Amino acid sequence: MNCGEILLVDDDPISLFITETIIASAASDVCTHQYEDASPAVDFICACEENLTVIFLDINLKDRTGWEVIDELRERVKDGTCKHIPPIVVLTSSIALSDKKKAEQYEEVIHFISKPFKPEHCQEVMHKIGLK
Amino acid sequence: MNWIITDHNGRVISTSPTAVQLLNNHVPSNIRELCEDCPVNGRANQLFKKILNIGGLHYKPMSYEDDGRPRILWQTVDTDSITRLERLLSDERNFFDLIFNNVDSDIAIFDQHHRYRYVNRMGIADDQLRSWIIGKDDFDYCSYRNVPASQAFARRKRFEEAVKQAKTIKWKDHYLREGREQFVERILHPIFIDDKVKYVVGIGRDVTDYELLNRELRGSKERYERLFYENISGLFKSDLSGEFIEMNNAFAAIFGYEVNELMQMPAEVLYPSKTTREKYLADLEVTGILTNYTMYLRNKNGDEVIVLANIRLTRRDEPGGGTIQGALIDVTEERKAYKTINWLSSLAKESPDPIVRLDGITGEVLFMNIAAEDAFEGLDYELVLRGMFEEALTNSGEKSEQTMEIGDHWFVVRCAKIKSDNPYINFYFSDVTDEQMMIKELDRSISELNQRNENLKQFNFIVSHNLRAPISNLNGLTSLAKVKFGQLPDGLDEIFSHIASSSAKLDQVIIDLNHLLEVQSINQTAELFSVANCISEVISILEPEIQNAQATINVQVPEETDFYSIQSFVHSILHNLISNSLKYRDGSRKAVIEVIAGFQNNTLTLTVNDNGIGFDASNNDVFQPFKRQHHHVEGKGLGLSIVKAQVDQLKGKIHIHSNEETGSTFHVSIPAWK
Repeated sequence: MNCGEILLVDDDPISLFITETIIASAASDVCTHQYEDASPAVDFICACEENLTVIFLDINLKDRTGWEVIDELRERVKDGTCKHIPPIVVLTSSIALSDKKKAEQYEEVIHFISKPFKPEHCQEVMHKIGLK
Repeated sequence: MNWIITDHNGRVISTSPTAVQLLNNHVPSNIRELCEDCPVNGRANQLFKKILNIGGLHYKPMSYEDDGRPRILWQTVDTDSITRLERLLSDERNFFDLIFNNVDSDIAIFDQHHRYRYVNRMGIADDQLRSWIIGKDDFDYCSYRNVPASQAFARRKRFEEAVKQAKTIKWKDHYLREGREQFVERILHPIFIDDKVKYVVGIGRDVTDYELLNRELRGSKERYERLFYENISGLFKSDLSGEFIEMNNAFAAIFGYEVNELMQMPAEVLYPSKTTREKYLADLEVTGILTNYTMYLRNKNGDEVIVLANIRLTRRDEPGGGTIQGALIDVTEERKAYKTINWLSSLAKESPDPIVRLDGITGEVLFMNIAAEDAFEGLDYELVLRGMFEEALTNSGEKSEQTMEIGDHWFVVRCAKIKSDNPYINFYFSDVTDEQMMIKELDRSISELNQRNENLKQFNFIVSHNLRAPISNLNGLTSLAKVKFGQLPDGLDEIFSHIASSSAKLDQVIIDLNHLLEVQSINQTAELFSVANCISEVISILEPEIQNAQATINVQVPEETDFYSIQSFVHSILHNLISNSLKYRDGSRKAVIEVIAGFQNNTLTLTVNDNGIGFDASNNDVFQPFKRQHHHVEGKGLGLSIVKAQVDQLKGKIHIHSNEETGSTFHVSIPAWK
């Protein structure tokens, strides 16, 4: 993965560590940003403008769900405080079919990955966003 | 006879020879005075009563004209004979007067020239006029009374008629005098002497009272007849044996007869039996009168006719007696209606459901059946009903329904407002206490179930997130070792691979458990999907395992496979059954798996048939979670439990045929989702 900035949003630090390690081993020139809480993550996304290549978003966050984060981003695009929403990869420990179906309903979501995050997953995502 | 002619001044013009002598000796001094009073009209001499007395002779004057000069002729009269005659006549008249004046009729006697010869006091009350009229006729009378002569002409005509016919004639005169009617019956009776009419006797009798009474009677009779024949009540009169004397149309109509027809029949035909008539007659005999008496009779067709009768019996010894007469009113329809109303009313009264009727204006209780009294027992029902009444009034619809608690019972109360001259409101209660209790029980069960479902969701969340997150981390971390350090030293590599396989197994258990829990939660939606596509999807997902097992999968599906159900469940069922067949394949032969879909009566049948190792299908525990049939093959024992749970959720059925030589067949039938 080159010249990309990647955002990881997950309330589980171990999960963040795994994801970051795998991404880092796959591509040395990417810069990952990590947030455990949703609000600062949303602010960061909006501040980044178009520099973010992809977002890895967990569904079960501390004070809200990943879906609510996407909804909030949409609101902010609407009121002009956010320029655009980068591609989102839902990375979750949930194996509920309902979550997978819901993910399909969001056009921003380009991929749905059930944890654990594996190097193959990383390849798939890079392929989807057209990197490497 | 001596005579003297004078003028009106009493001057003597000439005398008879004897009179000259007398005049010479005794010239009357008062002759002028007498002459001055003497009327010129000779016909008035009867009234001119002055008598001139000269020399013992009485002279009676008579005026006349001699070539236009008024003269008075004085003639001597035989005073004695006149006086005698006058007395005789006077006596005679007094005699007639004595008799005829006491007769209650006008009596007049005329001579053949229509002149009055006698009138009694009834005829003419005025004595002076009565004596004046003698010798005069009706024309004189008319001119004297100053009435039109037509009356006189009419009388004259009658007079001549009587004379001509030579018999007594009778007629009636009708007068209107001062606004009062008067009827006079008149008789003219001619009296003949030697075949010549000499006198005519006229008799007039005032018959006003009689005439008026007669007229009144005639009116009464007409009224009676109209009343009788046109009466809407059936009126009849019969004798005691039951033979009709008279009846009106209404009477015959009650029984469906014509008057003429029924008049010919005995009254007996109207009774259902002879004894019935005898019973009614016996009742009538007691008091002689029956008032508002109900009789059950028969009409021409033999159908029952109920009448309300007022009947009177006149006994044989009464004048015009020996009859039965009365008035009947047909009340058949009313009685029938009354019976129906009675029946309905008792139905309302005895209804096991409470019924209450309120006045539509005041809200006053008009009716309350026994069930309503029971329901309201010990309660201030007026207060409850008042509330219902007011609500019913504000309710614009004609009908309304509400459920309410009264005492320790629940009722559905239906309300019907009746708009009429006497508006009212009916309330019909249905006791729904049992239903209400059931609904409450059901509500409680539902809320319990919802609570359980919530708990299940919560548990599901714990499984899928709190349990699974650390395990997937563990899984991820194990793989990180290789990512970070590449090839590990020999001993460590083995340890890591064991950690990886243990955590992977644990993860699979949690994933399965999650599926099982997901099936049991109720929020699944059905959709229309292609069963053929669903099978293809499952096979493509299982492709690595199929490759690994080198198995052959034969799929048979009909052309049209659209089906309405919960797709994820069908998908999961197929996934579990096919992966089971792959897993429990018989290593000694090539694995062949058949997947067959079919439709019958809106039901999907899925068959998964393998040639694997099979198992003992008689064991019902096969669907229990964590019961494993084979311990030599890796498995966690949840697959069939999930299949069973999903089939149950879809209201379907699953059957298994299996033996340890030929393999297993799973039959699943799923009805379309409703």
